[in-house]
This record gives sequence, structure tokens and C-alpha cells, in this order.
Amino acid sequence: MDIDRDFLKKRRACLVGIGETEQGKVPGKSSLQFHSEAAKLAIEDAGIRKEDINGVITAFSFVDQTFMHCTTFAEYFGIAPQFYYTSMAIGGSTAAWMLAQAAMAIHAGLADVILCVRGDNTLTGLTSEGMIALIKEMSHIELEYPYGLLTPGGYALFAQRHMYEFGTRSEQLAAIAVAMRKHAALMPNAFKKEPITIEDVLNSPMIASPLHLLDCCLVTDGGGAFIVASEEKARNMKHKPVYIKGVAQESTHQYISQAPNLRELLMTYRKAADKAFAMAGIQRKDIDVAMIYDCFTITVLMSLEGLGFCEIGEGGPFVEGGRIELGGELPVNTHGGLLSQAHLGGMFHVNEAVRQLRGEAGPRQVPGASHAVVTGNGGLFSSQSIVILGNEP
Amino acid sequence: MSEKSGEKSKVPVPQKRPETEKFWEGCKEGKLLLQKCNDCGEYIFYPRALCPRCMSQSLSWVESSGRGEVYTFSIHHRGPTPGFKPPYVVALIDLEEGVRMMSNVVGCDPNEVKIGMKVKVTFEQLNEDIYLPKFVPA
Ligand SMILES: [Zn+2]
Repeated sequence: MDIDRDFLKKRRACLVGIGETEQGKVPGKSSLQFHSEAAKLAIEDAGIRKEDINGVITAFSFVDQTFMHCTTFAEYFGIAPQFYYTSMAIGGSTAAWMLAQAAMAIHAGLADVILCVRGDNTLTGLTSEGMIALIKEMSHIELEYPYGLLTPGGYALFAQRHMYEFGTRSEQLAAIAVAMRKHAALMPNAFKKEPITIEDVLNSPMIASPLHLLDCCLVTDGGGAFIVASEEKARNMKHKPVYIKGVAQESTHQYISQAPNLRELLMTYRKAADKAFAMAGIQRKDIDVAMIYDCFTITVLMSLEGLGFCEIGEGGPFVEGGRIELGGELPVNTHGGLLSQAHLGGMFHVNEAVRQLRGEAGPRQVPGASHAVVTGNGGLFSSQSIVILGNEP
Repeated sequence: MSEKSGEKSKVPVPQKRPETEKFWEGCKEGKLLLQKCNDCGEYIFYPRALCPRCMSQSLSWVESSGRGEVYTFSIHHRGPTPGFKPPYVVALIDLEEGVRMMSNVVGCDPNEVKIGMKVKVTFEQLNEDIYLPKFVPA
């Protein structure tokens, strides 16, 4: 089918508020507490009242699993989302797709101020049983899990094949981890700031070959939120709005044994990216800053290829030489990403894009940034969300 | 290991489900069974109640040659539970019939495993009923 490329233009949706609590090792707080603190910060940032919110989107908690997550949060926080609410569970592609869901609800006229919020005490609250349960969920329970697949191992399977087909090297993957760490050093609210080198990444313990410990994301505690409003509502709020201009998602599989061959997998991603760019009415070269879901270094490399910032197979050379660092051709994850800032499923990829497009990223500011792409990646490259943001309609 | 952590210290044993019962029976007899669609001819793995290509519910069980090659692999230096003894090789195997399955490559040094390597199936007994298909160099 042909998607309606103009639907976002008919009733525009904008990011109007962002909030994030302290990230890292933050003991003594529950998942719902992190949700609530982040929501409060986002409401204050938007300069609105809690009562102005008429839609709520949440995701899930790894630590406190609840049957109806969104309404559980809404009750705890003291809001009754009269017009629109849902809980989403598409893994790491959830945060970016919350934006699309919010934009669609606003477009449909179902709500005009929507709070999107997540929070979890994954680092201090998740038991070893909880961690095993998470690993299990990444695999087919009968025909994959018994072979001991780790989550890093799933991405390692992609990385090994990428190296075989395209000659990608561990040093190139390491350059991604190094870039994220450099960025995190400039981010006040980042968990890991001490500088690392390519050698440090290569010398860190091998978890699942070819991925080392420093190729893997952090596990952290914290909350994050953003608020999406109609353009009309956004006009009277505190900040210059950031517009949602293009959205697309795709899925080819759930379990990695069912994934298509690497090139076909990335070509499917490319088609989705083409749709998002067509909807936004911009080209790749118009993107000033990219917020790429970075659960593992290989995820960034493959996503850059899938998005079309380089050809499939050329991600290795592309990420070298500081190209994805601040000051480079395409700064990626200027907040430090999941690899060095914090891991809340990519909520902060959205928030950092907002800061960049408002011009409020301080030492991390990409001069004159007007367009950003935000991605989410769930499962084992099982679900992709792509969102393009701009600071003008 | 205390008694309570006993469950965690073991390798997980698959629990049969309606779709997979026949598959595990095959494994017990030393046969790697795949489903084949009687309407479109598609080989199907993992076992399902219908053909994911044409929705046909008319499926047959056929024996795989048990031969294939490594599509990709990862040497795991940690396992999800203490029952796994690293280093071990998790691999995706392309069977001759054209389906891909996950398994472990055993019977050789993990460092000898390569993409494209020819492998054949073997079965590892986990309990009285469950024999898990694994692969060794062919
Ligand atoms: Zn069929």
C-alpha cells in the first residue's frame, strides 16, 4: 500500500516537554516512582498543568511487571487520561514509536496533550531470576533458549556475519563505543564518563564473540518522559516546539533464527527509512544529528547502513575517524546513548534530539541543528522504529 | 550450590508443546524432523500449526538429512545460567532443506568453528524424553 505521506501535516504533533531523573545506580526507588518523577519534570519543562494531559502512553517495567501498565501508572501519578492511553511493548523500539503513536492520536483528534513515560530500577531492582527471564524472552523458548543464547550473543551472531560478508573489524565496532563515551563525558546526567580507547574496548572481557563487554549497553536505574502536543496547544507552551515530521516501522522476524539474510534484513530497514524521509520531505544530508538505538555497537553500525547514511556493508569504514563524533559529519548519540549515558530503552535518544533541536544541548550542541533522526530497535533486530524530527513545521 | 538454586544451575530442558511433540519424539529416535507443507511445498522450522507461507494446515513431518552449514556463530564466554559451561558455541545452522535453526556446535574446539563449515546433527540427551539436536563437524 502507499502510506499517506502527508498525514502528519494535517494536524501537526510536536514535542513540548522532556524530563529525566538522575540516571545510573539510584537505589531505593521503584519503577513507578521513576515514572512519576520523570513525568513531573516533563510537565514542568512544558510549562503545563498535570490536568492539561489527556493522553498517556507507557511501556512496561522489567522489575515490576503489571497487567495493565498504563492505567497503573496513571492512577499512581494521579491522572485520569480521559481521551487516549495505551501501554506499548515492542522492546527497544518502543520509545521512538511512542512518538508515532502520540502523533497518530493527535492527528486523529483523540487527544492533544500526551505524556509518554518510562522508568525502571533495572540495575538495583532486577533479581538474577528476573535477568534470566529477560534473556529467555529474547529466544524461542523450546528451540533457541536451550542452546544458551545470550542477548549480546544474538547481536554477536549479526556481528560475526557482518564481519564475514563485509570485512568489518572489531576496531570499527570499538570506535562506536569510544564515540559514545566521549559524548557522555559532556553529558551531566551520564552514568559512565571516564574516557575509553579502542584498545580498552578490545581488551575488555569477551562476552559473546566478537562482542566485548564495552560493546554492550549499560544497565541503569532512572526515569524519562516526554510530552507530545498538538501544534495549536504547543503554541502557548514554554519552549519552541520540535515537530514530528516522519515516522516508519518495520519487522521481519521475532527470533533470530527466523531473520532474513543480513543484506535482505538491512534492505527492509532501508525501505522503511525511505518512507520516513519521504514523509518528512527531507534527504539524508539534511540530518544534523542522529540518535541511533545502541544496545550494542553492531546495532549502530547496522542501523546507519539500514537508514542509508552509508551503503550496506560500509558501516565499518563509516564509523571510523570521528565521523559519528561531535564535530564529525554525522554526530550520533550526543548524550552518550545506551552504551555510556543510561539505558531506558531509548527514551533519552528522544530527549537529546529535543535538546539539540531547541539549541539547548550546551557543550554537546551541534551548531544550527534543525533535523534529527531517532531510531528504536527491539528484540534481535526484530522491530525497528524510525522518527524524523525538525525544529520547523 | 544450594538446593534452592538447583534449578538455575541446570541447563533448561525444553517443555513439549502441541506443535513440537512430534519433533521431540523424532529427536528421541535420532531423527531431525521438519514440517513440510503439503500444499506449497515449503519446509517449516520451527514447528507450527500452519504453514507460515500459505496458511495451509495440511503439513507432513519429514526427516531432514541432518546436514547443513554454519551461517553464523558466536563463542559464548558467559551463559544465562550456571548450567551452561563456557566457552560454548551458539550457531545458526542452514540445513540442506533450506531452513535455518539455532544450535550448538560441539565436538570440536570452539575456535575451529567457521562460517560456512559443514556440520551434521547429533543428539544430546537431557532427560528420559528430551534429546536436544546439536551439530558436530561433518
Ligand atoms: Zn504452505
